[in-house]
Amino acid sequence: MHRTILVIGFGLLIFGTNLSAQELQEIPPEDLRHEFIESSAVPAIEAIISSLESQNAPVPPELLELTELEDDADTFYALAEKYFGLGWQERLSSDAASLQDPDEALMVRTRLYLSSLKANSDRIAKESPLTASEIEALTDNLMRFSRHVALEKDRTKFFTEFESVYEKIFPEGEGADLSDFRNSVALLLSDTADAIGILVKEKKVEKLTHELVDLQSRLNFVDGSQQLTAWLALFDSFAGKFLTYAVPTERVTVIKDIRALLSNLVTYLSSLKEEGVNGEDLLTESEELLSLAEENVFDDEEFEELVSSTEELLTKISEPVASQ
Amino acid sequence: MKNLFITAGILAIILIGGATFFSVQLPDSMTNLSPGSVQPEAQTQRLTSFFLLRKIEDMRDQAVYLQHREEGRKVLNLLSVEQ
Repeated sequence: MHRTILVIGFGLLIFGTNLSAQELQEIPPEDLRHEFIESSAVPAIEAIISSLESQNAPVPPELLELTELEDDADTFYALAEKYFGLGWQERLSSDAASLQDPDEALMVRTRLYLSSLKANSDRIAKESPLTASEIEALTDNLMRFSRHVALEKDRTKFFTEFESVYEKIFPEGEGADLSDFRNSVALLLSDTADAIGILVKEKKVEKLTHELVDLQSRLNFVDGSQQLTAWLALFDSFAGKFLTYAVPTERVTVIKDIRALLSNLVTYLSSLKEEGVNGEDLLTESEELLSLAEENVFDDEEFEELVSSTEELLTKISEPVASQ
Repeated sequence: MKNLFITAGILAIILIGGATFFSVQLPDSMTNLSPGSVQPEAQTQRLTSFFLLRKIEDMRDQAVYLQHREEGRKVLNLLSVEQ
């Protein structure tokens, strides 16, 4: 009797399992992914964003972008995997679920910071003494470590390791001062607002103007370094969009324009010299640059040198005018 | 670059002419580019745009560096409090 019940039970179990599998197979994978994005992934990301905002922590632009990709499963999955790594589905849900615990919320913030560090390693490496691949390797190790921090002694070890990595990527005294940067970026936004009509494609002018005004307004209300740090993420996101919609200028045109500029500048400074006005250094510098600009072939490095040197020369020329 | 629009002004002075610089009248040769070349106003506008976009890109990279430097410091402080 027992054996019969066992056989029937086992049979039902197999039948039931097959039915579930069949039902699942009938649901297209695309719909399953949409279902997961809508019911789990986006709510988890929104919970994480709220948690970061409540701590005045920067919200990585990638998280905001993911919340806008609900209807595009392919792009959503590609970006989520690129940003969070393989197995992101489970980790995202568990991170969102652990936000109520303050200790765990700090580890979630730490992991998001590490993901962001890795995602931006190319750009951070422009200022850091480490290369992008070195930054990525260090953050990968820390990220793995952070997933296995359970005991108190693990936390102490993780903290020591984190501190050591941080000091390698951001050595003491490197990079701009935060308040100086705030002044420079405010000036840049003001210049950008004046020139937006010639900088970006016409159909994007209105939208970007609106975002620019919002960004400037938020900067006015920033109080303290923590809020400014969070604002920098917004600036990064805006500037990224702005550059995407910018009207590009071909390199050959830039070289041609710089040539015309320098040629006229040399003529002008020569005439000043003849009239006894002191500008010998500027004239020599302009002549050297013009000779460089008249070369026919430019590799990336030479082009960069030409543009940077021209920019420096223009700054020097503008200084006496700016101080008047 | 302290103020891009000062530079734009200088560019305009150099390329377009019709103004004085260092209190000296610009020579006529400076106000005319070679025959067949594009309008100097267009050149000024293009170069100004180019330099401004370059500046935005550069400051965006600096912003990312500073954001991660500051947020990393904050996270370290919070982790140390927790110790």
